[in-house]
Amino acid sequence: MKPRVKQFSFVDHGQGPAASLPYLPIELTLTNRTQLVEALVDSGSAVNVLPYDVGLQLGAIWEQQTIPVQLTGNLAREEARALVVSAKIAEFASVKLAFAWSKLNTIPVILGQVNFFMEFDVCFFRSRGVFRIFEIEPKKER
Amino acid sequence: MSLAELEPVVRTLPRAEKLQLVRLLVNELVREDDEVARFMGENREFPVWTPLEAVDAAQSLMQALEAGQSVA
Repeated sequence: MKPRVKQFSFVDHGQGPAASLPYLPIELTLTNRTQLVEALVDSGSAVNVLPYDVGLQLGAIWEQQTIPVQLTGNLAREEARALVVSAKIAEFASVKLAFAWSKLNTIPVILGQVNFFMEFDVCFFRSRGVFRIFEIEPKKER
Repeated sequence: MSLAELEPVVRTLPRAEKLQLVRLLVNELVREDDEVARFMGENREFPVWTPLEAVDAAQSLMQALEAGQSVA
């Protein structure tokens, strides 16, 4: 069976086409709370990253997260902990994504190699202002 | 002055000045590209949040996935 694919447009947030970035609308769910967020598809990022407030909006409790995560670069100055949530893109099947839940709020939701790029293949067509997300294989609900 | 007139002069430049010339030409091309030059030249900040080479972080998250860690 051919993998399913969905195309999305780069987003410039009103700053003009030179500032366009691949932001992906993605639904994150934890227990019974769901948040629709715009997440930056960042192939240079080793991990997925979640800002503090988004985790709180999902009902996550900081003190209950027990796996510390050491981030690098501009994110290194604040503590982060592992948080696994369900994620849904358009009509694709839900997958589990592990995030480094950071204490920072001045950051976007970031989708990185672990484990967004393990669950989906991505092609960027920057010259055309679009990118495509491919299901690696049709999945049952996890 | 045409490229044909410039070329013999350029060939006589020392290596360091040839590299400077390349940089000068690149900067000129960027300036001529109005949209990119305007975007880059407006005293903007370009925050980079990408956690590069966060190998330990990646391993921690893989462990969390394998353990099925989530808030009850």
